[in-house]
Amino acid sequence: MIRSLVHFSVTPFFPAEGELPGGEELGLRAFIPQMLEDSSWLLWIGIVASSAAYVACPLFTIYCPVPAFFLSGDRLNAHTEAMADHNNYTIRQAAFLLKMVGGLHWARTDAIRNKWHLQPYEADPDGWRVR
Amino acid sequence: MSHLSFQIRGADVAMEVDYVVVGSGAGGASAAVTLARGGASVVLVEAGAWRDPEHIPSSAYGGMRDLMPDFGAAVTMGRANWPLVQGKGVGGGTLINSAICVRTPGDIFENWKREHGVGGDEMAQRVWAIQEQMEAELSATATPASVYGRSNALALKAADTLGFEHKVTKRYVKDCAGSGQCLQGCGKARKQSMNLTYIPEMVRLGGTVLSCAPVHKVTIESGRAVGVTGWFKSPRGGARGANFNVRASKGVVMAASVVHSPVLLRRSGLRHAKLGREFRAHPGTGIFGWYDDPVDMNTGATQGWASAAFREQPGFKLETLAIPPELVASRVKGGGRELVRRLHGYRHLAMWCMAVRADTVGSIWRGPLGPVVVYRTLASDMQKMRTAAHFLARMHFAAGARYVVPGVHGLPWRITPDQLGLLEDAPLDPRAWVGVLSHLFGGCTMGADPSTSVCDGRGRVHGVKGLVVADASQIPTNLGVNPQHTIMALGRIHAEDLLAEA
Repeated sequence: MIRSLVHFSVTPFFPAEGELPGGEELGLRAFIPQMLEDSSWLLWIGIVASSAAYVACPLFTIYCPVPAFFLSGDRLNAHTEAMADHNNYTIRQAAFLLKMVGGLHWARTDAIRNKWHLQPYEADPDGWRVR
Repeated sequence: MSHLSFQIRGADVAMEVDYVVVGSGAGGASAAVTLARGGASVVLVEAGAWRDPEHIPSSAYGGMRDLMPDFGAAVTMGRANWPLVQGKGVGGGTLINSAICVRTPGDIFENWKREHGVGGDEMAQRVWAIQEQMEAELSATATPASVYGRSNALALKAADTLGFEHKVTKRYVKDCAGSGQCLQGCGKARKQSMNLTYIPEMVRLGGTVLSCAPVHKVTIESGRAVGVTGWFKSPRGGARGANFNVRASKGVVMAASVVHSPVLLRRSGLRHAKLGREFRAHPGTGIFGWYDDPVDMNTGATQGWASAAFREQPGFKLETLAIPPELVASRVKGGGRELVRRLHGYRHLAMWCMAVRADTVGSIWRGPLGPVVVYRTLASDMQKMRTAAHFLARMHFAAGARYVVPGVHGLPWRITPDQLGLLEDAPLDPRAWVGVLSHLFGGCTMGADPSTSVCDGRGRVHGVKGLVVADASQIPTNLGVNPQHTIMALGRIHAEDLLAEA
């Protein structure tokens, strides 16, 4: 449920647009559990709290008194844009954190790096010297 | 034994040496290799893992996960929550910085002498002599033109056009490949970070590294530091491992970082009034310029250009900075379809940044779940940041940018030359800016008076024998320049003094 909540909240920040594919098409669903597992407890709490705020905030962004789950594509996009540029710092910071999570996934994918004329990343090794 | 990584519970480790050094960043590594060169037996204890070039991640995700504490999410408490730029692992901050090499400005030593009773000309001469040696040891060279990349070249052009003092950065880099990956750790092993230079040398000279080994306490007996204790922590998942106990007959060198050294000393029973106080930093942010032709800022040296022309007045320095594209994606204003539309122009963006020589003084506290850094940026420092942002925008336009992307809340997402005045009136509320705190100082500051400082000019903690501070936490002021060269020189000086006293 937590993973679904975070996935729902991060996805709209990097939708497909023009020639750039969206995070969802590039494997965001598989990335979220990895991100949550790798996060420190502090970051984990921040991501989950920001996701909850994303769902709860349409009233304060587009003045729509329903959770973000019930918003349509255009309304959801308007909510996302408004949250990222909200006058309330806490709300804006929550959007920034979700955007960072989405950006860490979206902009490292081969598809986006290819569009930006960057070599694909090699896989991160996740190892260290043991002796 | 030369290196001991994570040990499972039950396999407790006990060692006896001349000196134990806590922390393997610029200060700790420099002190450790100096002690080893002097013939002392040394154990270097590091909270993070030892990652060789083949372990260095490529992506920003991997870099934040493996090389930064708390996934890079440690932020200040105060009016705004700005990230603290710190490294994690053997090599500390040198893993994730751009290895910029700047000699300590002379006015710093005069200031320390005048206001803190330490430093002065004698220290200046000694520091500069050591810095000259270190430049040779670590292959410090000016960024070669072959790896400028277009972003650095544009900054050179802008500075020439506007006519102020500037230069290509001098860095501890050997044969730079221009891969633009300094901030994620250099997987090509060109950056001469401590994990590739001084620490292996210390090991060759007989020293030992304990990695994945956060120190819990400094052992203090009868007013003398005699060692450290702690337990290993797995880099994957954080599981607790075996206990370790390192006894040091001649001294303990504290270099656990500005954020951790004061907290560790307080946990060890020290009660200096200034412990954790006098925290300072260089707050800063970046301004993007958008150019008609692709810039591809992640091709070329990460930070190949800098200017200290405004270090004294108004009080900031300027640099190029190629942050990874993943962070560009979250740094450009907006969200959703509009954000992605803006990111279509990624290849045309060049990021240049400022770091403010701030007057703000913060503090570091021992919170229930770890160190807490309180930092409330003064309006006067925000004024400097705004002035610097305006200047960077002018530079971009002088270099031919079509518009700039300031990322300041309350301003348009992009500003054209005729809208430059908007930046002059940008809000001074730090919450409107996407700032970061780089180059951290203080928390265990040096000074002649024990009532207003934690250690003396030789790093010796007041009132405790055999305990020396050798990281940036001893530095009592902002430097206004990149601090790695100063930190390393002080680490070496304190180690030389320890050897001379022994």
